[in-house]
Amino acid sequence: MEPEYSKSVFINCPFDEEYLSIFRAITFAVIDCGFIVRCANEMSDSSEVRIDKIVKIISACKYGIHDISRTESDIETNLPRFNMPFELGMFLGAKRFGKSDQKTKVCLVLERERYRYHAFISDIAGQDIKSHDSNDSKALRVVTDWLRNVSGRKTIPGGTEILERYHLFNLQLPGVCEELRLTIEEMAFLDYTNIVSIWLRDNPLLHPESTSRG
Amino acid sequence: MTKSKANVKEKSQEDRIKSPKGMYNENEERPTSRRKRKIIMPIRKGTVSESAIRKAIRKVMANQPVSNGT
Repeated sequence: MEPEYSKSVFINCPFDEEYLSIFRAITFAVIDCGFIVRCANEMSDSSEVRIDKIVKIISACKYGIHDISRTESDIETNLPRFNMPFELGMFLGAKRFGKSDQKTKVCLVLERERYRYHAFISDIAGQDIKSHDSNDSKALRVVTDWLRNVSGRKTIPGGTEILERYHLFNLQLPGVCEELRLTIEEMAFLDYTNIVSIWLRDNPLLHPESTSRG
Repeated sequence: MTKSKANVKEKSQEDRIKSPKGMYNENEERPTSRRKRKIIMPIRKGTVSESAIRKAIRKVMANQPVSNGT
C-alpha cells in the first residue's frame, strides 16, 4: 500500500559515508515527528529506471528535504554531482506544474553555510533555506523545527527533545547492530529505518504536557 | 457524607498516590497529563527480519534500562 501523501517526506541528499551521520539524524527526526521517510535509497527493483522511481517517490510526498551542500568534485571523476539540485528542481517543478495535491508541496533546502548557495544556485532564493554547518545535531533540530512549523502538528516537540532521544538511540544502536551481526556502516537504509521505527515504538514519548518545549 | 462514601474517597486518594503503577513516591512531583506521538513509518523488507530487530532491541534495552525522562 502506498504511504499517505500528506505524511510522506522525500529526503534528497548525498548518500556517501561523509554525509551518513547527517542523513541518519534527519531520517530519525522525520520518523520521530510521526512522518514517513521516502528516498531514492529505498528502491531495490533494478528493473525500473532510476529517474522513474524518483519521480514516483517525489509525486507521493507532500514534504521535501533537499540538501544541496555537496558541491565538491567527486574524487574519482573530478566532477561535481548534480543529482541533488536536479531532484530539487523536479520537486519544485511538480509543485509549480502539478495537479491540485502537488501544489500543496512544501520543501526545506539545507546548505552547509547560510548564504553559500547564492554562489552556485541563486535561482532558489526565496525558498526555505537553512544551514546545518555540516553538523548532524543541528540538521536534526532544523528538520524538526521545520516539520513542526509547516505541518502545524502540535504533537511535534522542539528539536531538543528529539535530539535527546536520538542520543539515547545512538547509545543503543551499536549493541543492536552487534546482535544483528552488522556493523553500523553496513546497515542498509531500510534496515536503519526499520530499527529506528521499532525502537521508537518500543520507547514511546511520554512527556508531561507542562514541560516547556524549545 | 455517609461512611461508605468517605471510605471510597479515601481509597481513591490512596490509589492516586500509587498511580501510575506505583512509579512515583508520595512526595515526588508527577506530570499532570501525558501524550504519546504516533510512529507511522512502515516496516519494509530489509536485509534483516523484523523479529530479529525486535529481539535485538529488547535485548539491548534489557541491559540498558531507559529512564524515559521520568
